[in-house]
Amino acid sequence: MKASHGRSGERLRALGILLMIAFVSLAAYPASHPALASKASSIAARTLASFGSDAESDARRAVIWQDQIDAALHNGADPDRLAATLKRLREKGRPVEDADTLFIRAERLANAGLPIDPVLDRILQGLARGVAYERVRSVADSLEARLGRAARLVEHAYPAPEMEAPPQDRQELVAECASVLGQGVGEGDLREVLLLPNELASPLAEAVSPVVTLGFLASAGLPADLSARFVEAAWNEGYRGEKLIKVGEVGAGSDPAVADAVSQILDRMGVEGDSDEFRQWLESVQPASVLPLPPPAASTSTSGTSSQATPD
Amino acid sequence: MPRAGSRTADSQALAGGRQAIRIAGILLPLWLIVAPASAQWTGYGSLWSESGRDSNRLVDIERDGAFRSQPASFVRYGGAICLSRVGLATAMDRVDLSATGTGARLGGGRPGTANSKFASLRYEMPLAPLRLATRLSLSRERVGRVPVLDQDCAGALAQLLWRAKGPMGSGLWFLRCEVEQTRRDYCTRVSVVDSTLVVHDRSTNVRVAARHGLPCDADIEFLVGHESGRSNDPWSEFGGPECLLTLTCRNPRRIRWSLEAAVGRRGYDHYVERVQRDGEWEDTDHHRQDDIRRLTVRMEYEAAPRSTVILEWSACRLESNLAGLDYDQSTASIKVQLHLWGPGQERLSLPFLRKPPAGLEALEGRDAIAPDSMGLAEVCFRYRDPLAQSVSVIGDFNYWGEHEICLSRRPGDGTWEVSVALPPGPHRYRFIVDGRAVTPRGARFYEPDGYGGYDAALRVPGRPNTAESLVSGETLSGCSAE
Repeated sequence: MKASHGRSGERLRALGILLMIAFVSLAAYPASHPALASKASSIAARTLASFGSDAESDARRAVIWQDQIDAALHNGADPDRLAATLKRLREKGRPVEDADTLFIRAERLANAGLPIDPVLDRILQGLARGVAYERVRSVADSLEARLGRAARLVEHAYPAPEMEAPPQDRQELVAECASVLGQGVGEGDLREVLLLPNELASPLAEAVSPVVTLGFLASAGLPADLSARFVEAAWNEGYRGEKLIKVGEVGAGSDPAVADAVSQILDRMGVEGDSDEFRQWLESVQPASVLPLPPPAASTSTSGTSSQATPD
Repeated sequence: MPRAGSRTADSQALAGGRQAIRIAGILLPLWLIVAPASAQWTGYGSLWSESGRDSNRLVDIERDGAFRSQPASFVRYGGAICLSRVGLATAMDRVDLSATGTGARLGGGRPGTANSKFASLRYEMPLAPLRLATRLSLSRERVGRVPVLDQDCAGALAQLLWRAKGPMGSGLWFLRCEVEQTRRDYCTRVSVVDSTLVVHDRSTNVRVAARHGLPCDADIEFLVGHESGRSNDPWSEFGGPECLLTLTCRNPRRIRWSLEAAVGRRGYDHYVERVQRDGEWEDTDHHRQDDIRRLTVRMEYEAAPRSTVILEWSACRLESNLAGLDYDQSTASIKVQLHLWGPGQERLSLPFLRKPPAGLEALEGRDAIAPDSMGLAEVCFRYRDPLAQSVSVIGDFNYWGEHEICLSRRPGDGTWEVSVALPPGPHRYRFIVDGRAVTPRGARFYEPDGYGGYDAALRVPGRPNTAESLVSGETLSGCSAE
């Protein structure tokens, strides 16, 4: 009987919180996207109900959280990932203040235009693995700082006022750059690769593939400067988009002698050297039938061309 | 005549005594002024147990104050403490040494020795079940006295002359000498404030390291002589040249690392060197040629480097035997143990990402991952382990286990697999094998997880955020084989 009363009490409490949040949403955020506002309300209500605190704190939190969650979702955060992270926090017995901190972090990232999901994912992974929460927090801090560094690099290469692009394009590029920085690649090497498509029509979207390729090569153990030269050589050969990433996979997968082979090839090529060397090497490690070669390099000038130059 | 001669001798002795007192009266205040009152003692201590495994706990003291060590689990242990100080030793110097604690008794040690150039103290502490505190006072001994550090040493009396050349006035030199005896080893850490220090020592083996308080280009010359003149080689009683071990660790990517190398040899306690900096680490060491040596190198990385460890040794009639490579992926560390038996060079390439620890093999969809019209791509996760009882996959796509995705065992072999529809973009994952998280071998890529390990990674072609993951909400249960 007691358990039954307890459960119905919790339900009534959750319903009350939901109504309170719905009222706050309607009153304070009439212009918010209805679907996102609904999700934000739902997450805030579930979180409040599960963590539980006194009624006065709940009311205060309802207002603050609604705002923070709304900002995060508008910035592209995955609501399910956010909810899963909060659920893990609760399962780990963390206090409600940790949920506060998480929402503050999400809002901070949203205000800076930084992607939130990579940070949530890292927190989620740490919680799932049972890592001490202090360590999880410091890992999230360092990732957030790395995202900030990446955003500054992207902003420096492609300033927002001059370079109009969908926010998700910029966020995707920032997330990839942060991942590459996490591989130990220096900012100088990353900047060189980032600027490869600077004369294309939509450089933010085009820059993703060389950055991803750089990350692949670096993760395979190729020195960062050599990786950057490799990406540049492939780019100059006309590889773009998924094809360029495929070239990176080939380069990264031709272990164990990839570093030496790539180094030799690049040395022989030089900056303005004969690109046939590169093609021959690529064919030797990956048959042309699997990885079609692009048109000759002469037709793939970087000026004024876009992804049409991508080999198919 | 004999009386007169005796009186003359007495008066001469009296005059000499007065002269000596007069000189002492001048020199003593001067010496007390010159002797730096603020000189600091530095210490170096080691404790060992007789239980075997936990022997050789080394404790460094680089400052004044308490030297504490609490080897609580030791049944019976002893220790040696070497103390030295910067500056001249004075008669007022006191070293209080006490051992307190449950079941501790301090005693049986040898008092230290000291002279005007340096002061050192060595004190052995066999500890037995009593509670007692002992106080030692170290006083200055006669100037010029040869400090014989260990009367029981069986080796020939060797003389080691340290001559340091350089801008000595620009800073303090810290010379460290580790003297290894036949039956036990101890060390002295000597601080030198002038250009030449002569140490007479009954040593069988000497290891010297030097560093300077300020950056400078001074040279240090070590001359080894022999007091008795029988031989110029203090190691001659062992009948052969010393062995030179050079250990060089190169890290081409200049990733910050820590390194710990321990050298063990027959009949000796081993010593440990720790390095906490970038780049190369080189250690040159002299050893007897008939030492049986065990070298352990352990490195921890911040990220995944392709590193090379080069081990070189020469002038030993030994042969090499690479004993094993213990590889711990979860902590991103490696442990290499070598038994060195002869001259040669061993080069170890440590491509972290290419050599996971287990002999198991995992494959994720090696075939082309092609997204469908909705942007989702079927990715087949495979894991090969005939002995596994249950295998599941966790990753960012199922919020790291929020929804369990089990792999099914293929009949006939030990391959487990499952197909998952993933949205475009990068994905990180691991397998859970019998409840243990495993980063598989043979994945397309790896990414550091930020917690000291690595996740397997793959990338579904296409632009992210164009489709939702189908695995969200999918719940499978029962990952076991049956």
